[in-house]
Amino acid sequence: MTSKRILVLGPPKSGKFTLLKELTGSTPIATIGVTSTLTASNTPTATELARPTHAGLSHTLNLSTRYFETEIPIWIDEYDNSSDDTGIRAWATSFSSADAHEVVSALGAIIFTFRKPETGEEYADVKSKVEREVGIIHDTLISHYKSRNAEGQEVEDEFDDLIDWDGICLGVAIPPATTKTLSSDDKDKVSIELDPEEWETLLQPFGFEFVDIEQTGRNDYGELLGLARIKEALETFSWDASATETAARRRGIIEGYDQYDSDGPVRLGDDDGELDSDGFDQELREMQLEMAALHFAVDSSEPQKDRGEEQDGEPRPRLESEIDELERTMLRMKQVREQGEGLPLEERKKLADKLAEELLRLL
Amino acid sequence: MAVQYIILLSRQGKVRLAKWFLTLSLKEKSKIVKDVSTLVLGRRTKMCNFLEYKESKVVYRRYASLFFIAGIDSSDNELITLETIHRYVEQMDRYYGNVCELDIIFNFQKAYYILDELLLAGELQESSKRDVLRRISQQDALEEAEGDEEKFSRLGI
Repeated sequence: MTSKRILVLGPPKSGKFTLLKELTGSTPIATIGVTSTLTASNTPTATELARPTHAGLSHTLNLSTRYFETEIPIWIDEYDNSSDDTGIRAWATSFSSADAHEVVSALGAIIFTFRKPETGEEYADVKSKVEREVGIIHDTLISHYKSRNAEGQEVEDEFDDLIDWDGICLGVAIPPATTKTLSSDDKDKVSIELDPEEWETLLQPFGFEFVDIEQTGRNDYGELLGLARIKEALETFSWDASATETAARRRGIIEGYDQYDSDGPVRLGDDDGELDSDGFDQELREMQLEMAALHFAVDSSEPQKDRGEEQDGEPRPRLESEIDELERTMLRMKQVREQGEGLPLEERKKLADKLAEELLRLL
Repeated sequence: MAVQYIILLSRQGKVRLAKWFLTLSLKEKSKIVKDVSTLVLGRRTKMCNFLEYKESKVVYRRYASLFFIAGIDSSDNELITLETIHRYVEQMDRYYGNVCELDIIFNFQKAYYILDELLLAGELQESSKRDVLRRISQQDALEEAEGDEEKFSRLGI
């Protein structure tokens, strides 16, 4: 299966397993006692024994909608939780390498998890940390797509924003882990309510959508909240489409589906996604040949060049002026015919003679 | 008053539909889409639904996780544009039955057909909700009939 993958990323104990449990109904089997890093080949590399980590684990999500059903592999990754961002920067370095490019191209969604602040004092720290970390993740991903586009692929537009990536980016706030006993200590573990708008504004410049997993129902706009929103966002991605299909579809949508390119004629027929430039040139050539044949039929005394061999530029202005001329002629004929309607035979004959003279003059 | 373009943008910044009522190159279209997307996505809840972009105006409204954006001339009426957008959403809701983003992704041709029945050259051409839906259902019935005919011919009937 060539389905793209979801990457669930966050510092340790940021609620990745909570999210997976809510989303998939189960949790991946955690590797205890081995520190591993997600490498390009997706094989864990054992380093010095440190603590249980979730990096390098994988899981699966089954998505079922009225339009499709698919199984999506999930990768879990984490970085060291440090106040000076060394952890995330180390992750960013390993993910920026050329080897990691394969991993990044296989991604369809990135879900960044973080714990909600528990106290008012923590709030500002948590907020600025999340902002920095999401910013670093954003820059890391952009660097991959920028370098790829510089490698000789036709660059349609500048890729300098995650908004150009087709994948889904979510920043999910998980409530703090609570103890199961109903002791009075639990009162301290209640998380602070996050203002959705404030956090949306925080994450939006990086292309990430903010979701609070605790919320349910719909907001003022009728949009789903919480886990339901995460599922909805993941459903809108084409998990099984290839990169070329996605690019063609995206270009087609921006062009406006009218299938009219201002540089060329209207494409008739039932193709709805074929934006292959070779086919387009061929159609243009065929049309030029037809016009040449038509012109030859109208004016058989002049020798004709085979326009089919020429490319773009030169034949087009000539072609356009010929089309204009023909259009004018047809219009004139139609006008005369309309004029002639209802007139007696003599008058019509006169009009017909006049038109014949005009046509001969044109030729 | 003429609408210059209509864009449907998801909360994730993906364009789900774009209809242009003026002739522009792909590059210009991409630029407008990108600029307008960035502007609209950056708007906060209580902000006005109208904003200025270059020498034109942009009217947008958020419905669930989709932004409906219309570009109009600076001399055009924003409120009427907002109503036009709302009419389009209503028609889609009636047609699809509680339309969601997934419906527009997987049945995008219908979204374009409904828009084409509503707007012609950027002007509202049909104000009757019933007529628009009737024409789309007639279209659907025709398509179905053609589909059946094709099946029968393939089977040799």
